[in-house]
Amino acid sequence: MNTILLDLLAFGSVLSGILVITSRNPIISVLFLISVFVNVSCYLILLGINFIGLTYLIIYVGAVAILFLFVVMMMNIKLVELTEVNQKGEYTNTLPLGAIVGSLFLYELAFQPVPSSVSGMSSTIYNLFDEINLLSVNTSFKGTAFNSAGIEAYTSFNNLWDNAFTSFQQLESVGSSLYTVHMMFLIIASMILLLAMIGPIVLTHKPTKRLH
Amino acid sequence: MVLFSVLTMIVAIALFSLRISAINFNRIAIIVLIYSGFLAYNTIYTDLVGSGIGVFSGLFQITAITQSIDVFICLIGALVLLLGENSTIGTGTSLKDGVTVKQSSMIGKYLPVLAEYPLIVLFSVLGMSSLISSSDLVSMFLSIELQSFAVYILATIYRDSESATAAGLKYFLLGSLSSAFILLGSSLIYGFTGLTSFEGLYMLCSTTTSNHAIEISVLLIVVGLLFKVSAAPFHNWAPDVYDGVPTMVMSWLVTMPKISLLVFILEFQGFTQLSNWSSWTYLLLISSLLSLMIGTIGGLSQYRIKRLLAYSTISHVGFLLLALAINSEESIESFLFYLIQYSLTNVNVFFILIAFGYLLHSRGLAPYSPVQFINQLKGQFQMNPLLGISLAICLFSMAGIPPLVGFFGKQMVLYSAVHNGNFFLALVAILTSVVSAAYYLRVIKVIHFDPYTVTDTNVVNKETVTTSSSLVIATLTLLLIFFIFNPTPLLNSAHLITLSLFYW
Repeated sequence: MNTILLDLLAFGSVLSGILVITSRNPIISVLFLISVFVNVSCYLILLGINFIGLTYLIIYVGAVAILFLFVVMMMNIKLVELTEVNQKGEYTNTLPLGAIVGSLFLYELAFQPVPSSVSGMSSTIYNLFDEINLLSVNTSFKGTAFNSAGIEAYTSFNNLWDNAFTSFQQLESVGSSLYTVHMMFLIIASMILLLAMIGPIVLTHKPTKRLH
Repeated sequence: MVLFSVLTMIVAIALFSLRISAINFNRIAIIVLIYSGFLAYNTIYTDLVGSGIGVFSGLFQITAITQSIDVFICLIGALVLLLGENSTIGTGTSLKDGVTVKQSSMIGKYLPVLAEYPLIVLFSVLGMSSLISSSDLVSMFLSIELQSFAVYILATIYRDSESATAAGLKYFLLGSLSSAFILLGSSLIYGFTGLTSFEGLYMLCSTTTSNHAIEISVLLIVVGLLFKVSAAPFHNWAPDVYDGVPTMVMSWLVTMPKISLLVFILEFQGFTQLSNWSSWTYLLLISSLLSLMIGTIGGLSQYRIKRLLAYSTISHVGFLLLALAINSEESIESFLFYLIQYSLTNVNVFFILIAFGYLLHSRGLAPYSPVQFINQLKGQFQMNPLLGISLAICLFSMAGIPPLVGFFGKQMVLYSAVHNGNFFLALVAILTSVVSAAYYLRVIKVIHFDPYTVTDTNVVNKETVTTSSSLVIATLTLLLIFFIFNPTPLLNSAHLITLSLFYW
């Protein structure tokens, strides 16, 4: 039952994704964008990834898509121009190219055009992954300099995502990894956001001229 | 250090921008960069660092190469920021002149220096220094974004100029496309292996003989990175963007992001190259071949000097990628040496161009990029012989004329290519560098031998180049000339960094 639901949701999201591009009215395409997000978030929640699914719902549907809708409604784009563009066949002309590139990409990923020496690649990759996990938990490779300096290096390579997610509640695990081991990501991301805040101010701010 | 200074400068600019002039912020940023370069120099403990220490829980790593490139980035950044001095001093003197009629006509012609310029520059330096030391896919992406956001803002920072805005928009769109490539590649890596750290990838790559999925996703990441360094199949944006932005900003865009991205490609290659001849090598070789050819042939037909410099950058990136693709000890050594000498030469060229533009400003030139056409430099040798000679020396060095430093860079790259058996690419590189010498020589000919047509001599006022920039030009030019007498410090340091990369 669950798998059928998942398939339905995946199909719905892909279908509405296609409809986002093909629909002529921008407002309707934004509505379809919202439907993509809703589908994806339901998919994620059904898979058991509650937190990210809810975040999708709140951030994308609640904020971003509504913002899009406002912008599109305020821009007042003339529908005539858009239909003219479609009648010229700009969309259908690019369809074969998209199909070719997409199928090539899928082919590269799904099959191996170049025969490799390892047979049954997908299974070996996962086995290897397990081995590497074991290795990285047991031994601290490349960390010898640290050990000689008397500093423990075990936290360095302790970032196995799967373990972190099984042992905690989801929100807890995200928070704990974000604020302890991956604290640096938070700092860099905050710098990026700071820059993203300063940038528009710099670009649009006109200093008021004062007479001294 | 850079982080703290960014934070303080934000507050300072917001509060005191009326009382502290922009040039002081510029100087503060220069001092900050020099000091943080000194701090980075102070932390090169080769014995302790060894093959690399993971810091911040393994998300970043410190090796000898990251520290030394950090020093280099900070110093070059300080040099490029020093370019801002010229134009501001220009406004200062013209305001002090007191000749009111002249003043009102002159003010619009100078490039106004914004207090925010050094701030955003510091942001991008922060991104660069974290990019070269990142050892995780997520930290790589975050640092690339930090660096390139700052650079997009820099491109449009003079928002009154239409061309700069258009160039910045183009840069932003194409840069985010390449970021999307990088993101796609890293998400594929995570999807296939469940790993984000480069150490884990390295172990995975060293255990399997050939791994298709990882190879494809790594290739996607490298394509994104090559996009950002404007290597040849992905070079289309570069001449337009570099031509559009003001010269001062262009000097930053051309020089700085390339250093950090190329060094990052070097490190990433060390982590994920499967065998000696993998798709990595082929991709880099093809890209280097194309950028050598397009960079030289495209440059031949340019009459705008900034487009010409953009194409010359593409061909130099071709040389750097050739050295990267070979990936032996001597080629990495030549890569580092080439990177260092090329960035220094490039900065020198921009200093001279801005000095020319500053001297020529009185003849009704565009405020944002004074020297636009090669013909504007016609006969400048008669006017400013020293500047003309130094520009000629720089261009000779870029073309690779023997006693100058550029020759040794090219020679080392070619030597390692021939040594590794890449005869065809070495031949192409030699031929293209001969062809590229043609367009450098054309600029030199225009400066030195074309007649100087003075129609409005009475307008030319006796402005001189500021001491700071003339000092920099003199030092860098002498460095280019006299490298041959004392080549050991630079060569030995490049050699030692390479050895630390290979033999720890």
